[in-house]
Amino acid sequence: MGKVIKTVLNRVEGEIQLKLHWEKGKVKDAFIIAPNFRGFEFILEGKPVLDALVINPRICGICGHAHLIATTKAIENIYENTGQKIDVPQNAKLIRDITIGAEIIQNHIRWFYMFVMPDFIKLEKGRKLKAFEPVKGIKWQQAVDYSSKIVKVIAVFGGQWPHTSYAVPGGVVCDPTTFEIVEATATVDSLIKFTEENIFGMNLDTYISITSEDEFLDRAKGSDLKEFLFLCKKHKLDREGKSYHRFLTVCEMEHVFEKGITKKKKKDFHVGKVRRD
Amino acid sequence: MKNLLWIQGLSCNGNTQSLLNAENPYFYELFQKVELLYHPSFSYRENLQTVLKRIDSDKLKVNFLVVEGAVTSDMKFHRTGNYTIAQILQKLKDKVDYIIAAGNCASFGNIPATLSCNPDVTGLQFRFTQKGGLFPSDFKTKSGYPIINIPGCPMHPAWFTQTIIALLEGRKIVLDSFNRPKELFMYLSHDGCIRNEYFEWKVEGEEFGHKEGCLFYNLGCRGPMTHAPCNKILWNGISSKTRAGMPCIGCTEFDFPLRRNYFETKKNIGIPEEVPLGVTKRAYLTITGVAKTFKNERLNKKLEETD
Ligand code: SF4
Repeated sequence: MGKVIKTVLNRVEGEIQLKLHWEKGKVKDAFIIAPNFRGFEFILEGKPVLDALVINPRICGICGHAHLIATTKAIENIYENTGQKIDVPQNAKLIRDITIGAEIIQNHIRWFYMFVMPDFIKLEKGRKLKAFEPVKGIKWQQAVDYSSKIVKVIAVFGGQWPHTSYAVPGGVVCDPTTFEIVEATATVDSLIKFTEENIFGMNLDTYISITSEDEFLDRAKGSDLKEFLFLCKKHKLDREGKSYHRFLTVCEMEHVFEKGITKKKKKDFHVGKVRRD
Repeated sequence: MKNLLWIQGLSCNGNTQSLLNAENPYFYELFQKVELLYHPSFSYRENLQTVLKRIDSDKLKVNFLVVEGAVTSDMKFHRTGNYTIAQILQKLKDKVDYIIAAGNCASFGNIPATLSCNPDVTGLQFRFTQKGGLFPSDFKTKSGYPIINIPGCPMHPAWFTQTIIALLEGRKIVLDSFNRPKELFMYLSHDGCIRNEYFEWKVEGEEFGHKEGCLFYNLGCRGPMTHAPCNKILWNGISSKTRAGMPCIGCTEFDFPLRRNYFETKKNIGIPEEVPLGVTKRAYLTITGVAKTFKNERLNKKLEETD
């Protein structure tokens, strides 16, 4: 066997070790090891079904709301499979979409500014990326402000973020007033402005109308996305670690992607065949 | 400047995420007052192992050690580099001024400690009600404080920032019998809930999705039994679960994950098994009986229809 190299990555819940077996300058085998085990799937066993609404979001502190919405839908499916039709009112569906959307926006900002950009500081020895410096950098601080601001939308409807269990089979627990809805829309507007000024470097409509990378690079002013693309290319991240266009996804997101394996041609994916060692 | 080292055991990172939401002071303002030595989510220059080496050889003195997550000494369940969180804590425990348990997992063990195949998972100085966790109940850090517990699943950011600042300013913090800062956790999450009048007049919610009604009698709310200032120091600066319409699940308490049926009030012949703290069952029944004989017209209408 060739060289074995272990790298430790740590960002959200515990450490991840990446173990690579090298042979003749090529990666022969790769292992991702997560040495921390909490065992939610075992903890859930024998519990009343609705308790999963409280337990599951606690799988992850940064995307717990996604776990809540998935759990709610899974429980609704269970009821439906046993012949009990669940009608989720349209309002509740919209509110769920709004709160999960708010968490996704938070995720994007926190991942980009807190977990991705700081790693470039190490690569960029000469150039100053001071603004992205954790805790001290102005852009890092702004990311804290705005990622914390958007989760207020979840607090409007669900009381708090992280870890509310406000979505329940059949709907949501809240009945917002007009003024609470306005509190949420005003928050979203402020996030749009932040994104235009800092990430896109142009207004939202222009960004949506962009058709090529060159056009984007040409028109973006003071854009952190542009900075990111520049850094990726400079450090050849667009070429390194390139995959073989074999992708696997267990979930489905309507209009965006379907579940399955993509290997030029799409194949079915069977969850039942997944093994845990 | 005093410094702070943040380490993680079995955790979801939710207390870190919650702390990022802090507003007064902001996360980065807190760390202008105290130096952040290392945090697994934010440090990119140093890794924990080198920080530990510097502490080990007494080149570095740590003031605040913050632990997020439950702890175990079983390598199969947790590892940071070549150590378990328990080993790291044993090394550090006598070298730091304060140890703060951030969140319910580090305080009492919480959900990770309910995994039956590893009974070794625990909080730092408690395992649910049991006194003594990884450290015995009489353990104290150099400052004379035991582990300071800031529970909550997650903790509210202000509970944490204000505790650290109080200690930085040399103020004395009184702890309750579960080693939580008394002046935060002497409030019940019921105190300040906007449904309080419904509680008093016994107007009970029968189902979720309404602005009206108290969630205590049918829908599982533990507000009157839970030590937490959730309706005094609001979440994300604006709300709380019970305000939105979700029952309090008691997540600041030692027994939070041992309970079941969070959305249902346990009753015995129509009477709640648990009554508000400080009241006898008899007194509670008498008061509610009286409240029910009088009708508060306003509370029996949809809010939009009240005068
Ligand atoms: S909903 Fe819960 S916290 Fe609010 S008044 Fe009723 S019992 Fe108290």
